[in-house]
Amino acid sequence: MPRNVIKLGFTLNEQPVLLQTHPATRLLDVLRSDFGLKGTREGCARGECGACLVLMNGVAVNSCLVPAFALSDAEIVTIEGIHSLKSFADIRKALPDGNVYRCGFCSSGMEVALAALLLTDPEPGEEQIRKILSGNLCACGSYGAVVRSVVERTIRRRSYGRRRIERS
Amino acid sequence: MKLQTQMRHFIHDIAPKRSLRARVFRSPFRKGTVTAIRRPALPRGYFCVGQEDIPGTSVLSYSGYLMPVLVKSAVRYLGEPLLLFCGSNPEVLAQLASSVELSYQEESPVEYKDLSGPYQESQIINLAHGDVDLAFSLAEQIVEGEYRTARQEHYYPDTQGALADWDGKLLTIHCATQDPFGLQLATARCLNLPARKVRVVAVRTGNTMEGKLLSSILVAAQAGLLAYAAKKPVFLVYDREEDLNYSAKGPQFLIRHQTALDQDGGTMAVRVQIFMDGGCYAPRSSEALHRAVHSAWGAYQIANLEVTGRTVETDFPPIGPFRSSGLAQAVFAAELHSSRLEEVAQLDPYDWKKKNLVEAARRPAPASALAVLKEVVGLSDFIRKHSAYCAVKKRRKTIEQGAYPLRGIGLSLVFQGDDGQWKEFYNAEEERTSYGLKLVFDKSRRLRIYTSLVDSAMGIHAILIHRAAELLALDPQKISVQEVDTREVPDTGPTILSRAVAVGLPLLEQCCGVLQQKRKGGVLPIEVRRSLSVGSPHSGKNAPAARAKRKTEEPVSELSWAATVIEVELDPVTFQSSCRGVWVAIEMGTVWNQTAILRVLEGEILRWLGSSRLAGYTAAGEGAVSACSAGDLIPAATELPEIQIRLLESQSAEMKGFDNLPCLGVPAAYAAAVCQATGLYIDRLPITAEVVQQCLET
Repeated sequence: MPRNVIKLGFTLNEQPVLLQTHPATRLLDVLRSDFGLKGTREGCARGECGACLVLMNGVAVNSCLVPAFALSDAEIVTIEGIHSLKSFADIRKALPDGNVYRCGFCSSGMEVALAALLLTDPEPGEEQIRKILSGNLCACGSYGAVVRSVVERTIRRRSYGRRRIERS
Repeated sequence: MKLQTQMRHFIHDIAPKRSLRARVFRSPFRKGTVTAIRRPALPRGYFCVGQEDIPGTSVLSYSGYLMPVLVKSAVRYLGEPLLLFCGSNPEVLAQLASSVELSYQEESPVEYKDLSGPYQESQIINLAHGDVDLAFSLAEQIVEGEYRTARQEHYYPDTQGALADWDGKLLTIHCATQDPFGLQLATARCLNLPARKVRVVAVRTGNTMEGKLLSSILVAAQAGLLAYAAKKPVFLVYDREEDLNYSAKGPQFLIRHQTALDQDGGTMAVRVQIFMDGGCYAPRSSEALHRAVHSAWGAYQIANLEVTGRTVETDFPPIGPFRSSGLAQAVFAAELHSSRLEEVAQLDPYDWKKKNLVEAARRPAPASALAVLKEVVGLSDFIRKHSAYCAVKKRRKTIEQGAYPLRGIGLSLVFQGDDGQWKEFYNAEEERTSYGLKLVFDKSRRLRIYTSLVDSAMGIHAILIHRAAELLALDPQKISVQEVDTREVPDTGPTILSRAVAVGLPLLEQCCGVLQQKRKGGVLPIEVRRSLSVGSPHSGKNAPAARAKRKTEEPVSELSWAATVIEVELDPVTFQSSCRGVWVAIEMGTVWNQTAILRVLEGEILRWLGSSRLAGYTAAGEGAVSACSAGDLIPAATELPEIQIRLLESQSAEMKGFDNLPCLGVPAAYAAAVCQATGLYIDRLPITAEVVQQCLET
């Protein structure tokens, strides 16, 4: 193994993976280059815009600020995981429609942030949604449409859940 | 794990693994002469290109703006490209760039604090009607004002990048660009190739603010040069810092107003001087200055008007197209100046605007303008709030810090013309003779639209699909837009929404009309193609006639109108502002796809609200590049104000341009609101807390 290279294991989208890289490599580059997960995007590259958000042990983090050495034994879920894993099926139902975004660049970061919120609170209010999205900057100003879509879906799910209870 | 289908691909997502990476070596000084460049020894599989290796023209020209691909000796801005490297390992490329030996003689750049300093002028435009001198000699009072707007950063989310591949016969470029055919022509000229030997595939762009016009051509030409030399695919992508520092920006402006008033405060004459910072490669003809001059007195009519516009060559980095550049600054200055005139005339903004729309010109005001004004004033309860805040302002002598929140409300009235008028600037070399669009209705009864209009944040594809679905009574799900590839689609011109609406929609409507007739009993597939010659009313060569029409005929039906009201509250200690509400009334002709349009308008309002009050501009007077960050420009979700938009019913059967209305109306209304809240005459954009503090101190 070359000098300045570490070898570590972590869980990526519920799959155990091994990584051999420089300890300072950004998690963002690990995901995009080593694992080909291009849904995580590089925006500002300084932790401001939230385009590169991933779930790290259930918490949304900016992957441009996470060095590879911090990944040891971590559980990482990317937007690809949120869109495909069974364990996120309920959360997917609460995420906004794809057409609420305008250019769509920030959509994956926004959905990771929303997933982090929905993990802890399945029925968030408008204020909480806005607060969790405060770490995501959208150059197209799609926040209003995103917030409205999530609130609408939450209400729809709640009323659907009530109807099911009443029927049973 | 594969990328999910609902995720959209941007330029950074498409680089194949076998492509070479690229790096630009830039000048480490701002102005001077390079006396010698010694290139490092290149490892096998690595390539280096300098200006002497460019087979064609080394200075790109696009819609009047200029930008060198590479320079050899005369350096005019910090970070000007000198050499290009490509190879497989980015770390080796970094080492190669750091091993370049450069000898140079540095010169001191000229630092004028004022754009009206003794600069070289590259373009002068004069506009005058009536007898301005006589009106000023008879005036009871003359009101003067000087307004500044800083350089503007596009801050598109996806940085500039291109993937180029030369196979010996054809150069294929994948690039996030708003003008694939413009890019094709410019790159072909740079590589001295016929245009047919350059194929451009347009990749989806983020919200560009027209930043993917000039700078995307530069990066594509650089990648093309490297691919031509290496004969392998080359992927050149700027990182965020490089993009912020070295891409072309929107120009800064200095605008001086002089207004002659009669004894009642009525406007007799207006004299405006406009200075546009052309940067170190000042354009000889730019649409920005034309727009600024022709919109110098905003939405209002005046019998005596004199406007002089100058593009001045400065020692600042190059400028490029920006959304509504020139028009936005001119309207901002006119609206802010009008708020001073309202005080002199002792009229509230609503009455002053109505009066100056009607009386000053002694002819009927555009009905749409009066309608949007009336609507927004009612919607926002403007008159009551404005008089209440005026009463508060009169009661207080000074701003006592920490005493109470400072509140104000501002009203602006703006219009947007058909951007097709300005199309001659996108055909400066006169190589484009027509713009076209094609429809194919296939055997499975699906419709495919072939156009070079690129999908982006402005939703032009959604508008085209919606309109085609309506005209042909088809399910929108059965309509798609073909991938933009210059070998497949006709040239519909650059993708600027208002222009795309003015050119793309009529073409689509013509094609649909023909297709509808052919469909009756016709055999599938059916192909229909229509084009507009560059001399047609929509296409720009008749621009002077169109402009003349705007000045002489009323009502001006081809204009869309917007009235904006913004209410703000400033923290009395920090002067940080928060927006209490935004109300907008718009008349934009027939509305196709209201959902898409409202989404665009809401997003643009938020973006321009952020640009007006955050620090997302390079401060005027700074010579060197000055990078801002995302947080300086884009407001967060927690800052989302209440936004109410009313789209007024219209007599016009056509949809008119609307995308520039927020960037024209929002800064002016915001500035007027801050002026009322603080009681200060604020004369610049952006209006940050620091600017308010400075104005207070002076």
